[in-house]
Amino acid sequence: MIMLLVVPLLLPWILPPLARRTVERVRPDIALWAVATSTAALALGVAACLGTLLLPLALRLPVLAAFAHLLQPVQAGPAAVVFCASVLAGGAIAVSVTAGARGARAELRRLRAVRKLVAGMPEAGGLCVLEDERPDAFALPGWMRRSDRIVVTAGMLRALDAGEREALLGHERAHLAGRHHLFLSVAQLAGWCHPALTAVVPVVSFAAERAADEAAARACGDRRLAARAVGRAALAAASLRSGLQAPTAAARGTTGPVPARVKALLAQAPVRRVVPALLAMALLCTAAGASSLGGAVWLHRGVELAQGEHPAD
Amino acid sequence: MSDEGERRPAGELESSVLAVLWAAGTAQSAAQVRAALPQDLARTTVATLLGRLLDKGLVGRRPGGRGFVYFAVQDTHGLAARRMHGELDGGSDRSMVLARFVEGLDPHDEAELRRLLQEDRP
Repeated sequence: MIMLLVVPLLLPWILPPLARRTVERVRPDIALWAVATSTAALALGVAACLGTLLLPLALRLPVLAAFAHLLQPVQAGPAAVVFCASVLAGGAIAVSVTAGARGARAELRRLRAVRKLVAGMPEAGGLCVLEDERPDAFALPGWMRRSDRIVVTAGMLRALDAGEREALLGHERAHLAGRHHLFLSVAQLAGWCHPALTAVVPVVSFAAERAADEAAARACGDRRLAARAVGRAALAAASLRSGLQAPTAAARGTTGPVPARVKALLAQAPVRRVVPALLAMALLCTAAGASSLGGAVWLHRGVELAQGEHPAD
Repeated sequence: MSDEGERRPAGELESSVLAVLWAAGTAQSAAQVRAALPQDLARTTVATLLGRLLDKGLVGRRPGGRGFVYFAVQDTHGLAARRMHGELDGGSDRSMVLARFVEGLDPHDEAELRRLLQEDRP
């Protein structure tokens, strides 16, 4: 029965391919919701199962056993297996929490620093321009009564023509209006819970970019213009950065996110709302939920028995 | 005159005008700004937008041509820009929450992208 608690730890490995298929085929705003929600649900399942698995080990401590009014040790299957599972779960929790705390601290520190810099800058319609020849642009979500900002370098504005600049601004406004940073944060938190969910983080990020690209294309009424804006901005950024930045994966055969975005914008707008991969993700989450719930109920029964209740009750 | 442009929030138009001035790099007359905007705006609208940017200190102007020419006001020595660059590219890890418009390209992506843009050109 302890398998019920192990299955939700294995199920996340199925998510990355399903998430990729969903993002390729479904309207990106729907894909973003679906993938981020599934990632969060599976991460919750993983956390719940790890916590539950840790319980038999924790209840061996006299203090906690007394606190739970245990009359005898919890019997939850073969003692050796349960002990191993408990120890492994404890190790996994320690690793996740450490990685999460370190990552979250770095991210928050950087956000605070960027906010402080932007707070001192004048803006027009939410746009702040940095006097920097390196092409760059990002959306800075507002926080604590500070409003949203779009930060763009002068180099980026000079690399694009008038229509492309509007597409860029439309893209960043879509990120802010869609609160995409919340989806990205949730995905990042989930990624720290499980290595398979780490692989979904770039998929969520890609879905957010695609959703913003589609919104920009709608706003400027020209998909090819939006495609050109993304492509030319990336090439301009690459021409200045080359030499500084080591190619991360020059040998890989797959296409990176930027060409994929341009390709999608040059094709027809995606209209499908549901595909089998999306339904499979829903099924996956249901399975993980049911399995962890089943495992928790089973362990709870074990604890009740250890508290002296009779099986018949 | 019409007005796909004028229906949009004033803030969006202000940011478009600011982007035009930054992209130009040199001082522009109101007419030049109006011509460079992708939206079709009335002359008075452009004048109002430039006036607002002027009030906010984002834009400066000086006499030139048949009136004034406008230019984007640069911050002192690009200090904010350098600090921002340090924050964004300094650390070993990338920020997940600050979605950058374009991420780095490897040579394979770059070639692919050039091909796509080439094909698109009519």
